[in-house]
Amino acid sequence: MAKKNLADWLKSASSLEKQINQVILGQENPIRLILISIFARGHVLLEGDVGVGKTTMLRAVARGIGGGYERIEGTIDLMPNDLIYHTYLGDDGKPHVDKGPVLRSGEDLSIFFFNEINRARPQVHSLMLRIMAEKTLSAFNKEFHFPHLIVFADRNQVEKEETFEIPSAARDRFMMEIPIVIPKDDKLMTDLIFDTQFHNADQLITKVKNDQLNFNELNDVAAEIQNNIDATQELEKYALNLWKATIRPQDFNVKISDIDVNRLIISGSSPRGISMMMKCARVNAWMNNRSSVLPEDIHQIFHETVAHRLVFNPVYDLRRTEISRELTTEIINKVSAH
Amino acid sequence: MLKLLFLTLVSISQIAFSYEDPNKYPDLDEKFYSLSIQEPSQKVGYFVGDIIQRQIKLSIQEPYKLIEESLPIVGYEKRYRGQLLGITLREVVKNQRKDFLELNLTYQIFTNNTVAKPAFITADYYRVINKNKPDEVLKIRVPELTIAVSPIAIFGSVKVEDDMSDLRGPFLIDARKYEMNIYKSLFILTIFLFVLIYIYTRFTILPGFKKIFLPIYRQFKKNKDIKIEDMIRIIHNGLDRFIDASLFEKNLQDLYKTNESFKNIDQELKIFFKISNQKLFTKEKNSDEKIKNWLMDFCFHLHLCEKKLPIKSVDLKIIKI
Repeated sequence: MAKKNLADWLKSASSLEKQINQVILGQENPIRLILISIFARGHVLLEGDVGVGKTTMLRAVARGIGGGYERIEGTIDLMPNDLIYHTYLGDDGKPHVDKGPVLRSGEDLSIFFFNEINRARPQVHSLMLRIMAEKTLSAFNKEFHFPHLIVFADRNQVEKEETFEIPSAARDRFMMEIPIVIPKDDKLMTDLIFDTQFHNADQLITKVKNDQLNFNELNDVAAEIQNNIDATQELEKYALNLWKATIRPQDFNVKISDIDVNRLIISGSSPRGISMMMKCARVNAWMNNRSSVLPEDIHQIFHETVAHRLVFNPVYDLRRTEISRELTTEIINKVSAH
Repeated sequence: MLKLLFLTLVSISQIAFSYEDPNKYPDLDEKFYSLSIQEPSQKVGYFVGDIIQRQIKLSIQEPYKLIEESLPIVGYEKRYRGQLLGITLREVVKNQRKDFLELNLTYQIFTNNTVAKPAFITADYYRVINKNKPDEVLKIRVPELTIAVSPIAIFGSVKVEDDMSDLRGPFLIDARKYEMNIYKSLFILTIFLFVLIYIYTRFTILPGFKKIFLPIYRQFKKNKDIKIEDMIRIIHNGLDRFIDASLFEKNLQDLYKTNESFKNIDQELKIFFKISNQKLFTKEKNSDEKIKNWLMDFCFHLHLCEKKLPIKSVDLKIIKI
């Protein structure tokens, strides 16, 4: 693929980003991160309260990139086969078997949204993680492929009852965990209350043009981006130090208030995590119209690509969200890039 | 009880023997000696700690000779009617020739009576001996000096109105000593000012005060062959050390919080980050010599900011990257 094509893709991506920002107010950073994950071909965990616009945001993105968009709600009685098929008695009085949400769009499935994934049982997690990792599924004596699939899962961090926490190995499969918070700007908050266009999500997302990014070309574009964006030795050294700092932050004089950093980390970022971080940094550099990765590109995605992979001492795990933010910020502050 | 009695007797005997009986020896005939005394001009207004100087010139003719043991002794404090006078002889400078003696006596006042009252240096009796008749011991009386240890006019022999001669002028503290002290202080202050200017300005070379950016600037100046990438790394390292964190363009505010002077070179700092990104993180090339010179100037500006010295906006070097 020629560079010109990459430039065209960048224009399309920027246009889509602009349109989504008009539909979803005050979420510029999460929208940028979601687009990065799409071009880096990685799955995403969304973290945030209910009603902040996660589903609308994903529907808008799915509309923009085209392909199939499916969604399922995580519940305690959800079973793996509910993702694959469902049975019912038809009008003709006979039993019928229909494809479930994973199979419904076939190979064209581009975005699968698993709402409240932590309410589902581990068996369901297990199936989902296999689909995420291998992008295949065996059912009805047949192998199904989902080459264009990206999974977005949401978990509610506030309510803990009747939930099954996603284990660290499973969290590691997600490229990013993106926090989505209510915008703080008064003007935006007022618009969300009083501007009636934001009250009808179905109508709202029609403002995003259909199929702006051809979903079936995204894998090729993603590979092209990774091949064309450079990372110098200096940056490699910096990324390596960042990785080391996630494993032994005390070696980099990282300090967090009221936390014994020596006891905080049980396991730092995985090699997969750091390679995903670099993938995202390359995409970010490309989206900023640069041909090389800068430390700032890493900073923009560092917390989202690394924080959810860190395994904390159980003593500190209840304060995970707060501590992980402080830790990643402090790592960036203390690890020198030059 | 016996011990108490003993102590009382000892103290009484000390008082008794410290007072010399002036009638013990006869006076020397005035034809055998001449005595002149130069008294201090000030008679009143003395305070505790003040110095009184008295000069006594005495010449004795043959066959009489001065008994040196009868001269005043340093540290000896005389009594009057059993009471300590509060005036102590601090120094005796003796200038003696064959038949002539010059004594410069320095007394210091230690009395601190709260009530205005006279004080005096009692009369001294210097003894002489006849060389031809060793049994003949005579005395020469040096009269007492009466002063007042208070600026208030008092009763008795010291009359303030006598001390108000037009010729003597008003009572003044000798200003020369204090003027000298002021001149000395000004001299020391000037030296200190020069030292401070030396320490805190661009001219500093003292190792403890160089801080971060001046050594870097000097390092660049000495090493003309230094690679531009190394220059950038060294400057980054200096900036990181300055804020005790890794400095990037996005957290420049941390630098400004640490030292507001760096705000003056905000434009240059942003240019530096552009250069740094270009040289360290991209494969783009640019004129090295031009950038090298710019980095030198930038480093000097960092030093000035570190010292909180002003930089005019016209002095900023803005280049396009």
